[in-house]
Amino acid sequence: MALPKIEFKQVAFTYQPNTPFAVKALDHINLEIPENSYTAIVGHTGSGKSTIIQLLDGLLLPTSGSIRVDENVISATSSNAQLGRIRSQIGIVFQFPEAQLFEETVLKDIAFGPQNFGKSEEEAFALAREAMQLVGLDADLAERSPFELSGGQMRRVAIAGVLAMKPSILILDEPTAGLDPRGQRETMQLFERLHVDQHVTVILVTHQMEDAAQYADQIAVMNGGQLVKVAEPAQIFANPQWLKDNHLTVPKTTQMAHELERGGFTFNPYPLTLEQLAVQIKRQLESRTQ
Amino acid sequence: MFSKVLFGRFVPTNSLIHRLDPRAKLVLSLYFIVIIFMANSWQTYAWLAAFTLGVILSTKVPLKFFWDGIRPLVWIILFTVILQIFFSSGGHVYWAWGILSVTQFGLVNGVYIFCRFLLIICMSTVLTLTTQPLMIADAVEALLKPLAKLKVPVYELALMLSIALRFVPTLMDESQKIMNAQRARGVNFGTGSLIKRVRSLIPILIPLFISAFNRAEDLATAMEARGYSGGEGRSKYRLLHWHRADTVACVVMLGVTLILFELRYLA
Amino acid sequence: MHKMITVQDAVYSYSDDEHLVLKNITFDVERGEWVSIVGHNGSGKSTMAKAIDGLLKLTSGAIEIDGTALAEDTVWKIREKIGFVFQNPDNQFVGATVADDVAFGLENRHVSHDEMVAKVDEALHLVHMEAFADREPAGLSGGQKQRVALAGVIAMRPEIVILDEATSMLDPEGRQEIMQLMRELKQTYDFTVLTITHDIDETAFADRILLIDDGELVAAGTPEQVLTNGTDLVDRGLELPYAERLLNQLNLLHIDVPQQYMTNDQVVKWLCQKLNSSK
Repeated sequence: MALPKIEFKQVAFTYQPNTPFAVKALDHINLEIPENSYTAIVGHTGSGKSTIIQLLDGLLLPTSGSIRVDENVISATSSNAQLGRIRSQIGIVFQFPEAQLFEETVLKDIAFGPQNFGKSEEEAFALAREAMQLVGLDADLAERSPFELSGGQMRRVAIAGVLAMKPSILILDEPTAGLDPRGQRETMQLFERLHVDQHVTVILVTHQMEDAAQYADQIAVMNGGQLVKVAEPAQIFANPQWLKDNHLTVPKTTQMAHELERGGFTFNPYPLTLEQLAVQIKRQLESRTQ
Repeated sequence: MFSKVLFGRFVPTNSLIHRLDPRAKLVLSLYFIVIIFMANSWQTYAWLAAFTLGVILSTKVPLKFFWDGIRPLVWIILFTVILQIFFSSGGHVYWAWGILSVTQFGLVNGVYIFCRFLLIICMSTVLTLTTQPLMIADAVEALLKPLAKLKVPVYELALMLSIALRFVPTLMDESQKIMNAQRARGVNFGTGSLIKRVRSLIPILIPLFISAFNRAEDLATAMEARGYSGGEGRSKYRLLHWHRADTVACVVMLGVTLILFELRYLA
Repeated sequence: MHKMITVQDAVYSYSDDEHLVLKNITFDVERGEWVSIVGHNGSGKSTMAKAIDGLLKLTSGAIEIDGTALAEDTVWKIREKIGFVFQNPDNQFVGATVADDVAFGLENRHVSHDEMVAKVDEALHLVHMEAFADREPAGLSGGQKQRVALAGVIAMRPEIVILDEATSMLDPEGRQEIMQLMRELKQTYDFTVLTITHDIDETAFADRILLIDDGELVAAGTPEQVLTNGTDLVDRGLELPYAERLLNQLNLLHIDVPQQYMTNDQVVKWLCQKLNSSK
């Protein structure tokens, strides 16, 4: 079997170590993320999710342990050159990514990443135009200032700026925060397309359990700096009480299925999406009539 | 994470000094800095040093924090002391080379300057370690109040200061986030030529300014919605209370001054 | 019935732009009513809310609050009746500490010191933040900051509370907390409540829903009337409530579903009855 794409080995991280203000943010993290997988990392605010993201991209270095991304390893002693190689293949869409826009034009801003990673201006602009199309930005907007655009469009520009780097790993930190339902749906579908069509390995950090249930093939649950469970969505969402104990919201479908079970329905496997729930309801209603 | 950078951060230990009125602390620290310049002999410096040490110990703040306050200034102090040693003249000459010389007065002056620096830094660190920035802002407002009669917008200035203090951590946090986002897009801070380093700041500064302006606009709207229409006539939630301890502190300082002058003219 | 808010033919456009953000919007809200204005981002719903508080001036049209016409000389009087919670928890926190922030509005109204201390304590107690009175905002979560904002509003005893996307930047837990809190407070003080949102779940407590799309008021009515398939919420950038979506899905699978609007509980009840009656 091929090696997993990303592997955390005994990773720990402490903010301001050796000072009276030291805070242990992560401890004993062991996690494997297979190539072409879609992993959701969920957990309460302050559970260590954002620290994991920063470690993965070498924005923070682990206090102990190591993270392997393909053949590159991040540890407490990693050099800038090593980190640069890792960053060139990882794209991160941070929470409210429109805050990173700074260039005079949309096109220049999107081309910024590729240029930093060694692409010529011409190549970078070509990549930028391609990324604009991918995120559904009108080509007419290329020469506009990103600051004249609507909030939703600015979000797309920022996402395009990440995609233009052609990352093989895409990390998404609450990518739909603040968007309206249509924006949320379109954004999540965009990432799903990249995952399916271009085999991008996706890591989604989210509070939206519906998204984790619908898109992820494995879910890592964080609580208090520890990784408490890694499993398939159906397993994670089978027990509403366990979710509540770990400060997670129960997806609406799980909630509904649970209430229906009290009234005589049985679900096995537990439905993750509205469509699955509807199919199982139909089957049970019909089997009773026969 | 950045709060360390901010002038000696507040360390709550609830000591006697902590509980003093910020107005008393502010005025007395400034006053003390002035009388440091009255010291002119080893006896006078010894007296002020002993007093300062007493104050430091009574704050119950670990000495390490005071050292943290002094450390960044070590080079400036040493530089000034060395200038003083080499360039002042008078008394016995120990060593001379061109215009440089080490004389008795030079050495003595050097030591005095060193003491002066140390005392000033220690006393102002006592102020910032035992008083929240907000309280210092309140004290400044209270002390400037008479200027309001001269049409100086004291209330507005005080509110501005307090809002600025409140937004420092928010903007620090924001700049860290923007920096992370740009590093993830391949920006390498702190490497390459000076020009390259300065240019790498642009992707941080522009978003930071834009966000600060947006925040300011939001804040102004929120303040308006909450009925803010200028500083005039607003009542105050946070009142400063002058206690007996504050009067005692003033009397103590007066005593320190009297002894200082006694020692000064005795010598 | 006593009209608390009346909006007549509200039109708004930015001065340098012909595009109309609000197009002849007319509605009113009765005293004690909970009304939700829903619409996609950029539909104009927040603009409408800000105009009601006189935070921006309509291009044309008229607004009346509790019988007083909104105008330059009445705007401060009217703002005293309205408590406003904005979207970004960070950008409306004025005070250096939680207690200072709650006191900010009271200070503006020259409330005496002793009265202010009592009101701040009470308001913090009501939003369950009394333990945080001396804390600085930097250490609080988004949900806690919004609770402080709500305390600042309650301390002023307003007639009307407007939540302008006040939960959209919070995590699901914070979101639920704020809505639940708002409901409790409304039961105690019987404010008139106006919530602005794109999240259909947040209309759960509303008596009436106004749907705005591209500056136009396209639907208004009870949740039963607006939150059904008929109002094409999805085409307008929003989403149907979960129960409604499930019924639609079952309908697609050729199961006969009732035509009227149902809440989650009603759907569960109906399905379980159907299951057990077919035994």
